[in-house]
Amino acid sequence: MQAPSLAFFSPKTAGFLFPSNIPGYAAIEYGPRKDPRPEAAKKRGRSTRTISGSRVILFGRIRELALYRAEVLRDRGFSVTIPRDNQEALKIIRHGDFDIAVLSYTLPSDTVQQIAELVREYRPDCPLIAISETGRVDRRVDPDETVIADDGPPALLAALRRVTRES
Amino acid sequence: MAKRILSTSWNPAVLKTRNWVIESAGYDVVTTRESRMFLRLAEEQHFDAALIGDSIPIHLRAQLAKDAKQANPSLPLVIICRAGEESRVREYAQAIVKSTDKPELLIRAIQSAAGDTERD
Repeated sequence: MQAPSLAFFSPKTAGFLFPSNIPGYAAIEYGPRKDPRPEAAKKRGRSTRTISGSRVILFGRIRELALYRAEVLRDRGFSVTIPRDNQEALKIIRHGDFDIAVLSYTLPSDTVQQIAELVREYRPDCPLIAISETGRVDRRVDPDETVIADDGPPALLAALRRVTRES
Repeated sequence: MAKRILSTSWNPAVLKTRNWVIESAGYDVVTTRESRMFLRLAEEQHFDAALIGDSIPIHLRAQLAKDAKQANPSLPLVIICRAGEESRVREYAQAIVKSTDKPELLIRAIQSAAGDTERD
């Protein structure tokens, strides 16, 4: 197996991974997408991966939001990990210590794609849920489920139920 | 009867997820994203505490906290702050929570502000 690209940890992208308290982040999160790809705005349907595990790894730029989401998921019985930095993220992905990956589009789309590629490389059986502000996601990310951020916890929990159902 | 919390923020995703956490702790949460509605509710209805989120820019958050205190001086305010913002709102806040604090700390701050010390 070819070693995965580490481009996602390049200086250009790594800085966007986990910082919080960036002034004006709400405008960033809810601003218009520069590169919309509406044709990719769909979930995978019949090919959706399902898994019986409950370990969730949560990627997002707004740590506050990630902490609240983690609290919601833990309340529903999931075990949640939020990587504190790039090294921890890479370590968790490499070890495959998770059953479901949740990726927020508060991260730059290139970073989302690169994280998705690493997850697919190390855990090809792992369902991937994208949280998007509009429902549109990059075709290359190809998530199993897409959740609209503004729909709040019920939408995320519903997506998790779909990917964790016994097949 | 559950205590009532008034909550405002500009970021819908944060607002909904945070409210879920507060409701899970046993509170009734009333939400608005509009400052004018927040002040109106603070003045006209009873709440045990009010929460102002950090997605509102700090200068507007400070003004909103000041106006809320004028509208209802007895309403305890819990204000979420990013690094270095605390001094801007300290005089209006019953409690200040950092945006990076764990949700348990937010719940504790709400419990304290709402005079609700018996919850876990």
